[in-house]
Formats: sequence, structure tokens, C-alpha cells
Amino acid sequence: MTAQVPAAPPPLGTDTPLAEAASYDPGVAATDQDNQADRQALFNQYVMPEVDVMYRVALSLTRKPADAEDLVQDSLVRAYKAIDRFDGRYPRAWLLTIVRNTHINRNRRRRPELLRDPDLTMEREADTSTSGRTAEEIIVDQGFDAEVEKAFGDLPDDFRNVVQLVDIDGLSYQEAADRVGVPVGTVMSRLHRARKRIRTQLEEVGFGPRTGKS
Amino acid sequence: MRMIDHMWTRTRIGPYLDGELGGLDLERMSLHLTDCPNCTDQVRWLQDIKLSLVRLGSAGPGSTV
Repeated sequence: MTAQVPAAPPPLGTDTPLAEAASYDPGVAATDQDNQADRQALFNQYVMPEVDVMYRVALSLTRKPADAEDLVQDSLVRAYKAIDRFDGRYPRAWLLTIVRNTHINRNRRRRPELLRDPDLTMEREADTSTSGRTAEEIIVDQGFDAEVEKAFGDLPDDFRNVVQLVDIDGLSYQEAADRVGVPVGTVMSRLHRARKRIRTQLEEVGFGPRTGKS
Repeated sequence: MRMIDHMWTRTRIGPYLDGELGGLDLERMSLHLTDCPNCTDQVRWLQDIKLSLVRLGSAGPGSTV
């Protein structure tokens, strides 16, 4: 399955922080311009096509457009620094992991006692096999993803379609309604019932809400 | 009042996470989440599900992320 990027992108003008981050210049020495060019090419190839999706996920995490743009900007900088160690497989998954970890780290930064070494964090994020998580977290996350995939696959077609459009493709309720050809209330109802089924299925196999998770 | 907010919040977490909540509703939701660990855990869990679905959408056929 492949995600469809919605036709209408978020309002990202050339004067936004995102645009600045997209042309981020890390100040590499002049003697290493070839390396910088390679890095920029990889960045353009793998990262730039995913900026819209990164923004939508950032918005769902932060709830505020300004915070979402800041989060994407930080994530783009991290991605730029780590791009030469990215193996080229599943760039969206890699980038969304960076967005999620950056979001967590930004929240931790507000609590000084939980500060972590930013360089160490960067090194972990550069490793696409671990993305800064412990072995236990990786196993749990893989199990979680597998159960979500199973629950998603078990949904009736009508329900699965709206989850695909809203949760995966990032469409608004109205956009999804227009796409499917049903009233927006029907989309909301199907989405509510579909998510309830997914939640129930996850809870039944022990993947309910984790308390106290940072 | 907190219990009322709790029940109100539970019915609107989905639209909140989808960016469909605005104005006073969004402010009320944000205010409640700063003060309710249970709803905060619920929101994080639903965000995890949403992110997992996005990862699912980005994975190739037969692949795992």
C-alpha cells in the first residue's frame, strides 16, 4: 500500500521557517563542497517530497501551526545532518520517526532534569535501525505497528477507506467526504467507528494506553 | 467541572487530533490536557496509533517499518 499525498499542500511560502530549513546551510568547510553537494542532493531526493506529510504529522502532535512549523524545521535540520547515514529505505517512516523523536525531545527540553545529550540523540536518530529507541521499545513498537496493521486490515472496506484517507493520507473530513462522495457526517461516523474497532483490538492484545509515557 | 470536561474531551479527541477542532473548543481541550493525565495518556496513545498508520502507509508491499 502506498500513501497518497493530498492535492492541497499546507500553506508553506518561500519565506517560512520551513523554506529556510529546506535550504539549510550547516556551514561545511569549502574544502568539502562535494560532500555538501551530495548531502544536498540526498536531502532533495528523500526529504523534500515528504515535507507536507511531516507538517501534517507535526500539526497533529503540536496542534498549533506555528509550533508545527518549528517542529518540522528542527526535524529537517536533524534530517539534513543525518542524511548521509540514511540507507534510502522508507524515507517517510524515517522522517516521521525523526519528527516524533524531535517532538519528544522538545517537550523534554522544557523539563531540564530530563535533558539528554543532543549529540548522542543525533547519532541515534541517524541509525535507521534504532532511531534512538531502546531494544525493548523497538520490539514493542514493531509489535504495536503489526497489531495496528492487522486491525486496519480487519476493518470493513467503508471504514478502512476513511481511515486511509484521513489518518494515512492526511485529508480533512471534508476532503475525504468529497473523495468518497458521502456527507461529512458519514465520514466522521465511519472514522469514529473504525477507530473504536482499532482501539478495541489493540486493547485486547495488550496495546492499550501506556500511563506516564513521555 | 473537571469530570464534565473529561467527558467533553473524550468525545472530541478524534477531531482534536485531526486538526478539526478550533476556537474555544481547541482552547478548552488544550487547557484540560494540561491538567488531566488520563486524557493526556489517551491522546498520546491515539497519536501513536495515528503515527503507526502513517508508517503503514509509507511502507512498501510486504515490508515492515
